[in-house]
Amino acid sequence: MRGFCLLCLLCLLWLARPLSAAETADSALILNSCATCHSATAGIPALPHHQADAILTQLHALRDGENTVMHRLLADLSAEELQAIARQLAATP
Amino acid sequence: MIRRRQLLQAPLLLTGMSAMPLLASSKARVGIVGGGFGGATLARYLVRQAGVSVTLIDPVSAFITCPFSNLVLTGAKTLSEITFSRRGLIRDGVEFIPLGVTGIDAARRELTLSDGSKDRFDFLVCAPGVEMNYESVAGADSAIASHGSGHISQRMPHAWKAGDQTQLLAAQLGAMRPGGTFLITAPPNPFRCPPGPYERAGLVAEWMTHHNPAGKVLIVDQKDSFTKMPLFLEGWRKRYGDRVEWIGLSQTGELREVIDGGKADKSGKRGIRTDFDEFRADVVNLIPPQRAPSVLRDAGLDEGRGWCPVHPDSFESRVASNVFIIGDAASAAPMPKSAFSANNQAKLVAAVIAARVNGQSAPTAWLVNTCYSLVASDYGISVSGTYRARDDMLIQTGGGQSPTGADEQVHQLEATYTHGWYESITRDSFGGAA
Ligand SMILES: Cc1cc2nc3c(=O)[nH]c(=O)nc-3n(C[C@H](O)[C@H](O)[C@H](O)COP(=O)(O)OP(=O)(O)OC[C@H]3O[C@@H](n4cnc5c(N)ncnc54)[C@H](O)[C@@H]3O)c2cc1C
Repeated sequence: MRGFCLLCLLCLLWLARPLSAAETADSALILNSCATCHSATAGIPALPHHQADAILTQLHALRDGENTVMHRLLADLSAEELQAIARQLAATP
Repeated sequence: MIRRRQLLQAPLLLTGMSAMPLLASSKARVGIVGGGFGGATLARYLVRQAGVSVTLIDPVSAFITCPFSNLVLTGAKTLSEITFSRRGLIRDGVEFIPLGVTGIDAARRELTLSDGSKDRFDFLVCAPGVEMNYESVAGADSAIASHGSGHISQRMPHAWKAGDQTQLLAAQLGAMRPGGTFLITAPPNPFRCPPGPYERAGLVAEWMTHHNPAGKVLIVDQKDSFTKMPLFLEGWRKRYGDRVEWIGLSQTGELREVIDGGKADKSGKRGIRTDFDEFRADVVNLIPPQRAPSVLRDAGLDEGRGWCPVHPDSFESRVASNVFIIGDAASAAPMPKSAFSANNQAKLVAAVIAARVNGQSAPTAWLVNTCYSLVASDYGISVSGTYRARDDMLIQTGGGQSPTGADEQVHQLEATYTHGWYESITRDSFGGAA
């Protein structure tokens, strides 16, 4: 249990760390890909822009959940990439 | 020849307002050939970047999307609902030139336009889509010669570029006799929109259940399998029984000849001959093999191979530096030739060009595609892929298809997503509603 908490703390610290320029550029490119489907007003849910850790939980749930388009697309992204995306999503209005 | 832009700048320079125009002219100039899904998306994403000016050249002022044109075929959508003006792009600051590109000097990055003018750019991006290749369809040329009644595509429409062709095929479908056969010839790989012929088959079959209940859809394929095959077969069986029939390459052999009786043929029936069979039908939707448009091949950008090879981490041409090829014209397997792929490749190239202009390192390529298809208007299926560049090759690193044997609810939701996707990608690519 204590190990788990430590892990959570480390995750939160990681989430609070500023992104490098290269990470920002890479995750910006990934976020641009999201816009292909998530720019509409109907049919497909809008992108979340709340807290980074909540977005990250959501991304993990989609990635590890049932066979949907999002499950298939996120399967290829590493934990670091998902974190960078969550943080950038949270930072975009 | 002096281009319009230079003429506009000249008086400003003379009146001493040198800062503005000098700044403007010190921007890197990006020329884009073709404003479909690839070119328009690129223009929109690049024009937001500092330090670049973007010129988009396309003779088509009102772009009609191929996606959803199968719904126009069956009357569920109108052509105007899938037509997009250039207003969104121009509003964003893109210079739009409604001319065709007739020549490309790739080494000089110089374009010749249909009015005879020439223009040089710092970066060139080519996204002109595909060209139908009738050379390999025997009988197509002689049919044109013997009837003198226009191109074979007037009698056996491909409807693989949306617009007149879509309307022509729709009219033929509507005029078909009760119990008639609608024949689709599906081309060999690679071609524009791998699931497209099969989506068309299902939607035409759905139309028939209401308007021509004894009608049949026959697909003669130049392949032995196709994308989402188990999902399409399952959907057709569930919704249309044996109305839709598919015949693969090893069963019937290669398409050898087009039988085009024209008006002189008393039976009025057209058809095709393959190695082993002859098929007659009331409507023939001949979708020929495809290749990159001649403007790219004449420039040597395809290296004589029909499609233009690119470096997968940047989509820069393997033939010329600072020249990029995106969309259907690029040789980008295993990415399919889709609107989604073209839109996605455009975003990578926009980031690559912006990085070069601003002296930053290029972003890591992570590419993605999803093709939704409708088996029926309320029955969607999908295939997705993610791609990365490794050792100068494009590798599929993730993805998959909708599950087979799923509930109707799953497919209903995917049909809803299909419509959401269309609304979203057209907004993302063209900057506004139809
Ligand atoms: C029936 C059908 C259904 C489809 N459905 C889907 C779908 O559901 N999802 C999906 O992702 N994809 C779909 N597609 C595929 C999609 O239409 C193409 O993959 C996509 O349009 C490719 O984009 P592009 O930018 O390469 O070419 P295009 O979008 O075709 O744009 C090319 C542009 O270049 C211009 N051009 C051509 N030559 C010149 C020249 N010499 N000078 C200047 N301009 C020129 C043309 O006028 C055109 O505007 C479908 C295709 C078909 C046929």
